[in-house]
Amino acid sequence: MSLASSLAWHLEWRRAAIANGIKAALAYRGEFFVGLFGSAIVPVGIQLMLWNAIFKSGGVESFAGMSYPELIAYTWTTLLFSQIRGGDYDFELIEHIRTGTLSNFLLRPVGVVEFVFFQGFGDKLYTTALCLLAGFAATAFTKLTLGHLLLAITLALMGNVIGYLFGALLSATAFYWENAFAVLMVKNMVVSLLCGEVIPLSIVPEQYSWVWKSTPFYLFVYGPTQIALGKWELAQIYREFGIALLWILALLGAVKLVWRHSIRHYQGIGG
Amino acid sequence: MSAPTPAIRVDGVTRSFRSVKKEEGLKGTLKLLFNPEYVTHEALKGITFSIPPGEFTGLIGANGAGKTTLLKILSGLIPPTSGEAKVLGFTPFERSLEFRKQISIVMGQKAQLWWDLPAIEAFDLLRALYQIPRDLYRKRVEELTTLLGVDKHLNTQIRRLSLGERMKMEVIGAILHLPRVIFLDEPTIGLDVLAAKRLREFLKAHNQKEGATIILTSHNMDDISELCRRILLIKEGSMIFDGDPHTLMRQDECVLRIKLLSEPVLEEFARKMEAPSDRVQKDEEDPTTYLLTIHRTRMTETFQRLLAQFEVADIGIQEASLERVIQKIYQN
Amino acid sequence: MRVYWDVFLTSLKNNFVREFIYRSNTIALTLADMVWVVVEFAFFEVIYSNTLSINGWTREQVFFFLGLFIASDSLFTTFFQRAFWTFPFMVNHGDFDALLTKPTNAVFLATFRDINFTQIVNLFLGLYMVHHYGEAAGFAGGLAWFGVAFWVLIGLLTQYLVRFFFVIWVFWIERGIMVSRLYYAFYALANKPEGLYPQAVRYLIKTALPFAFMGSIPAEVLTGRGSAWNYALVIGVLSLYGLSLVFLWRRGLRRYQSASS
Repeated sequence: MSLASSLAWHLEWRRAAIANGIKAALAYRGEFFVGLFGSAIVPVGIQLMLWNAIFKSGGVESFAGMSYPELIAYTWTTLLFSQIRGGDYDFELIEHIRTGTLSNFLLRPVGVVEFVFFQGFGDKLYTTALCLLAGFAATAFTKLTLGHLLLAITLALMGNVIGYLFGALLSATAFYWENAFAVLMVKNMVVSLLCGEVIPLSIVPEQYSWVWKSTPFYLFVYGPTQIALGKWELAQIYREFGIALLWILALLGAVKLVWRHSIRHYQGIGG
Repeated sequence: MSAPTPAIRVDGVTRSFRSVKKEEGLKGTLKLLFNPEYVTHEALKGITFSIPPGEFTGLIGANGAGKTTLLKILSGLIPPTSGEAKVLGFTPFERSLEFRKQISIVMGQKAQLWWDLPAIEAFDLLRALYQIPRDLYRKRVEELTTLLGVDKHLNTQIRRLSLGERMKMEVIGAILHLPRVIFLDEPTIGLDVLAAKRLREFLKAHNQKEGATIILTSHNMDDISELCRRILLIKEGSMIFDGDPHTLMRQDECVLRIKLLSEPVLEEFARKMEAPSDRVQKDEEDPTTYLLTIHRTRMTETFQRLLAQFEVADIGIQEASLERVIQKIYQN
Repeated sequence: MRVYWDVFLTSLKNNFVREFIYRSNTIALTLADMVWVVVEFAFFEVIYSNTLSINGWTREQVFFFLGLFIASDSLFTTFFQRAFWTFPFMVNHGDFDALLTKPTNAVFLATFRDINFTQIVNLFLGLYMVHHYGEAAGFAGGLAWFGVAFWVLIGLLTQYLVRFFFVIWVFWIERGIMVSRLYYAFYALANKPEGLYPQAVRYLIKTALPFAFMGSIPAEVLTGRGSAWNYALVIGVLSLYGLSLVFLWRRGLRRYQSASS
């Protein structure tokens, strides 16, 4: 294969996988909206009610250094990014290993970790487009600028990649345990708290803040929200992007290494 | 002497399904909401038959002919639209406890045993469900698994078994409680020749030993011709044949397979043989071979004409397999 | 009755065997369930590190509430959650057929199939929280523990009925799993005390979606903040749920049978 045609092929199957994912997202619109209702609207609604209850009944002026309008703005803004993170397609990797359908991929000239990612990512691109539209509309009546929006969305997408790679790394446990979805469930729960979509991480007491700072999960929702709200200086934005990139590279290396090693334990059940 | 009470009696059973016609797009969805249009599909159009106890009966028909619908009515999953069905004297759809204890259904396409468990544990749940006494249960599991050659797999998770082993386990699970009526829906689907043969032998022996009434649907004609002394042939919801499959095969016509040195077009061959066009055709698998259907009394005459008209390379009489016979009945 | 007991015990044993086969996953799952408790706990801990009370609910009262909620939720998750989750798939794939031909009550078989032991740890965690925060929350202890048992079972019954109500539509809707997912969207209302919510939502979680029966009302009654009306409300709402489920189940079965081909 010449370099050009090899490059074309490399681009082509990835494009096809993404297109596949987008089509799947469009085909199940009903599910999409139920999902949106469950993962975005209800939690944000509950959060807003909680802030309201605290300020109204407690009569407090500020909560952990944040005013009522600030907390409300934070909660609304997370909506733009909380749907971009996750996707749970790392669970597919575990299912492939457990049920033996991984064999189909091993015979194809594409890596399964990458293939599953691109297919799931297609679905996320559709969501991202909607978030971008919503964010764009928000620039008209809030302090959100287009530049901040684009930066924040980009960071959120990088967060999605980090989240998936983390899941892919943990999925390798399935080679040893056969059934390992519980590991991903633990990860998801930790992520849901530490990504900042439930509560702004800045209200976590100082002595515990190392917990969220030492994981990359804050880059999923908290980081983009801070950018969108204009809380981060440009220098910090650059630094956080650098950190995100380092996480991606480190995880990529780790996934490659761990999968190459553990795939020897694959049992290839089925038939 | 009066005939024994039938194990299964079906009298003028019909079954129709009504479904909503959905048109494409938003307009179609709105129409669905306000002014739905219904389509009625008649799956069974007045089926009548009865089966004496202990008989092994084959139920045959193309996909969508109504076989599964009939099995569902007989096992009590759905009621007939009209007509009456009785199984062991029960009305199946009432699904009385006594009825459910005495029947069993195996669906080749669907697993009933729990995949994540070893077969022995999955069987244990069935023991509890059917309240089989423990010692009897143990004896039966041992006997049945040995007969089918899966005794050494009893402690293997079902999902780790091969398709054939899995199906054998499904069948064992279905007959553990010695049901008096067994419905087998495609039990050999997907199995290799050896596994299918072993399962057939097992079913035959079980039928003879325990005297259960069995209805079997299958697309595998080996199943039918080896197991069933009677077949019910269903086409588009109507019964078109009810009787011994072997009488079907012993009819007075036969098919000659003829290979010629020259290869005339089919029309020319038919004309020279003075045969009507529906009696000649080319073999689908080997287009250089002509197939000629004749009455057995015309054998000599046909041979003479053939030798006079053509240079024959090869000639033979095609075995009338059940499959071909049924195909023929089905097609006209 | 003996059949049901025997089937139940055998299922229990079988589930245990299954968990043992996947033991590493089971251990991780137990951990996951505990992490969930920690997350719930941490959430309120962070909130209460910044405020003393929310709409009259003190930190101890909230953790007492959380303990009751976690206890009844763990019972539901242990015995029913997986069965309800797989129910729509069973109906859509026609595996429900096999169940109907078995000589045991179909509702029993459909909802009591899949038991998840790992969650039982949370029952003890929840009860520990009830014990630990009880006194400061105003819980009398002693004989009042019978009240805890009663309310935990009411919570279990509530979740069973509401979950059933969300899953039963699979008989009518082709992609019934969506309705099932919708349940989890609403379920998010269950794990916060009612004091958090505006009046309209409070009515909602005591009537149409009675999640308040799993934690808020029990916590109020057990800490002397409830009234006798609460019992009437619970009996009324749950009876209505029960009756409509009986009705829907019968209609649903008929519908399933007429649609199946």
